[in-house]
Amino acid sequence: MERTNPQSHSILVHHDFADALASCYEDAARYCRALCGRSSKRVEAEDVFQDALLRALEYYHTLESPERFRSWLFQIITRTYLNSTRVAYLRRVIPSTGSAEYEDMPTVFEMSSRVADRILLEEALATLSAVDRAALLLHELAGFGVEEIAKMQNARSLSAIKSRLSRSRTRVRAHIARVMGELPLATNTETPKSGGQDDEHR
Amino acid sequence: MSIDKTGNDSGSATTDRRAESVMNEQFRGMREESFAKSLPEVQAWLRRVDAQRTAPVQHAAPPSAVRLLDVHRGFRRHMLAAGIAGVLVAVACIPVKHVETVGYVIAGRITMPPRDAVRELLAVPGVEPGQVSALGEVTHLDAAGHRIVDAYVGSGEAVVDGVHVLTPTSKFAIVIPEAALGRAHTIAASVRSLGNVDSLEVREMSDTVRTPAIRAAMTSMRLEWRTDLPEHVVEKHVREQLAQLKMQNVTVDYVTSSGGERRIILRVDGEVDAEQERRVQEFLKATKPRSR
Repeated sequence: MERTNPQSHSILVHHDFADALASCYEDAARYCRALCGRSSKRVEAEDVFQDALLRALEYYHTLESPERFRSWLFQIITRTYLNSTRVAYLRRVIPSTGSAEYEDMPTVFEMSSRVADRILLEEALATLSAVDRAALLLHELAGFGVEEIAKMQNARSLSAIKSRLSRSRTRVRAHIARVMGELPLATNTETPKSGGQDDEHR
Repeated sequence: MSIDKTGNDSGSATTDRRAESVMNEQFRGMREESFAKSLPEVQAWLRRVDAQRTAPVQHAAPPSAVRLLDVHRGFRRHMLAAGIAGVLVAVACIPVKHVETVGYVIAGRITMPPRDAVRELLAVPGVEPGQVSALGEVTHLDAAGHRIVDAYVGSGEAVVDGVHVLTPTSKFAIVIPEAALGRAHTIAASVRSLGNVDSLEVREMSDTVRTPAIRAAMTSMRLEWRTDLPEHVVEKHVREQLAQLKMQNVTVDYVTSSGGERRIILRVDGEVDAEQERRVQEFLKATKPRSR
């Protein structure tokens, strides 16, 4: 589809983006929320997701290969999150009449109760660096392969990403194991959902 | 082999396997969480934003030496404090909790393209330039014969199924600042008498409901913020905020750009002391850019 002047073809452009988003919307939402963490950070995840979608909408007409849409969108989400964590100590607003004041995005992330194991995983993910966490979640939640993640993170080699993933999984697992190991034995036998009961008899 | 609190062999390998199991199971659970319910609303929101984004806007670049806040943009709740060679430009936030009627919004639908709509509405007595905005509606009829709005375009021009069209209907909003209700209704009656107004309503703007009122009117449109609030109302809010921050020695100036946009500049004589700076920073931390 040709896109010459985004303004004169605004109908076609924004139908493209909103329609293209449908193909990976749920994965993107899951990724964004996991990347930002949950609990008190629901608002942050909403803000990051909204900012990322607005940015993607603005630059959608520059995307040359529609098949790259998914990885392109996830890169935007990741960069938006990383930028949000680098906000200056004093939030200074440089107003510009060129910047629009848009209505807020509808609520995407609802607060919900989580089981203890989910909280454990989220705490473990929070111990990772943002880049490591992003790589792990891109792989686990969005299904990106090592090669794709390497491109998205500008990694020098595939082995660098493999190491990153392996290291991250090890660290997450170690954190979970450490917390589980600190719990009283009775609690340890109650929380696991699968395989836990058998361990007692070994 | 490590010993646990009960004195038994804790089986660290066992714990590791359980941890692996927990990790895999929870990742699987996260992958299965559904967000499908919110997708249609998000898509509709993106289309409205895109229409708003591509509407033509005139603006002037703010001066680079001084940081300004266009308080007429309404709902920013940040405080900006910068010391520049002894002159502090502080931008106060307009509180949204005061209950005060500051005007009315006349919103509705008119059967003409947006440019024609704006021209017609500006000709209504009592309506001033900058108070009117309109967006063309791109619509289709569903199987039941209901008209469904697909998108909004500021230019009123759209390409639909490869055909270049002008939108026959437009959504409009007229912001009447600090008006008595009677005056708002008088203007509304004049608007209705234009003859091709499909729907029209008058909504009150107050400090507490102003945001949703204007947002409701502006769902898919961009108002060109000119004089939607009278200057003395803005100044009153600004001074209230500054007083809370114990900043009394403030001069309030107004600047009008060539595009007709108003800017408010706050100048503090002398330098801001450390205590004032600290209060400003605490205030900034406490405010959030968006409320939900």
